[in-house]
Amino acid sequence: MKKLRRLAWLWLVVTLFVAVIGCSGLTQMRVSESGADLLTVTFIDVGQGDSILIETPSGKTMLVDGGERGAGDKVVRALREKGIERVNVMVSTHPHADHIGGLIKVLEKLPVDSVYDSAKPHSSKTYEDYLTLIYEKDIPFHIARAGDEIPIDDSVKIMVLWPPDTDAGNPCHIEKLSVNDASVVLCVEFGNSALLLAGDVEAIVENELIRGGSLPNAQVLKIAHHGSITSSTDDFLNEVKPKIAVICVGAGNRYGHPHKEVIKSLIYAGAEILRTDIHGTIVLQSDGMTWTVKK
Amino acid sequence: MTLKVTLDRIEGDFAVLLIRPDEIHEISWPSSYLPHGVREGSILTIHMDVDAQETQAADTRVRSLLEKLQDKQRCVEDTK
Repeated sequence: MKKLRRLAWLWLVVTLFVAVIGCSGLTQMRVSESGADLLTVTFIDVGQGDSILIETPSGKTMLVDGGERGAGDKVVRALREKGIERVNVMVSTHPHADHIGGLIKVLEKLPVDSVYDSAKPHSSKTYEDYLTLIYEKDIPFHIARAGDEIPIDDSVKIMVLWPPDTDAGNPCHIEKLSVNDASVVLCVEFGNSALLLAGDVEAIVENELIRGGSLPNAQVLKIAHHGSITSSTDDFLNEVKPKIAVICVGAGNRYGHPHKEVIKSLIYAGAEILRTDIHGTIVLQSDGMTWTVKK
Repeated sequence: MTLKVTLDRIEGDFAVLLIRPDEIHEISWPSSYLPHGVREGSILTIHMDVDAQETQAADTRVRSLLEKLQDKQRCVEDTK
């Protein structure tokens, strides 16, 4: 009887041991996907549009925009290839189709914990379908306004810099801003490194951000509006001082993105230029001090 | 045929029109050919009909030109 009890204990201990090792193995695998103690930012090549995935050191995921509707499958595939089966935070910078279209497929295929949105009204069916899905799936929906912090990981600070929360009479009120200028602008800080995601804001907002004094020195800048001449003023670049400028843009697009004057300004500012139309999907990693381009 | 489109955005000289209801396909439309009073988010109606008379007239003109060109070429070759 004693022997039998000892055998039962042994079996229990071995089972628990295997379970603990198995779980920790899985955890390690997920963390190592993004790199332990590293912040990984992937600019997914969705053609003409934006889609940016942020993986934090603790394995949390944030997806900013999803490209056009036709790019949705590609975004879902890119997430799954990284072993991501859940999006912790989804941000739609503004309701233009080349930013929110692909988010519909992501919402259909993966669980999403929360959504942050500009709440700039736009009457496209694409925006309506995206909002309907969020509503039907009971996903917490937050309106992003300057000064808000998006909680995701204790080691990563994500601040909303734009649009402001103003009175209806203010010229910067969401109803008065153009759709591009209503873009949610985000600053992602990890240790001493920073990334600025500028959505599609144009010069008028860039000037407001300079005037507001909230712009950080960001080593990495996601260039606004696909490198359009409407954005990336010299004053703005002087303020942000990017070392790396990422342009999300479709190869052979008919809109002339990126504009040659913007490329000139970036070269003059001394920034390394990375473009999804030339380099495809771009992966950057920060250890809290230095950004590395992953090959 | 009637198309309903959403004016999603203006990109430089082009308006991006999304064909409703699914908005999978888009049309790049010269901004200068938009009706007065549109803004981003406006839903527009595009009517399309085959203009059989205009098509027939253009076809006749082209065929006539082809004939004339061939006649002219034959004359040039005959004089050599």
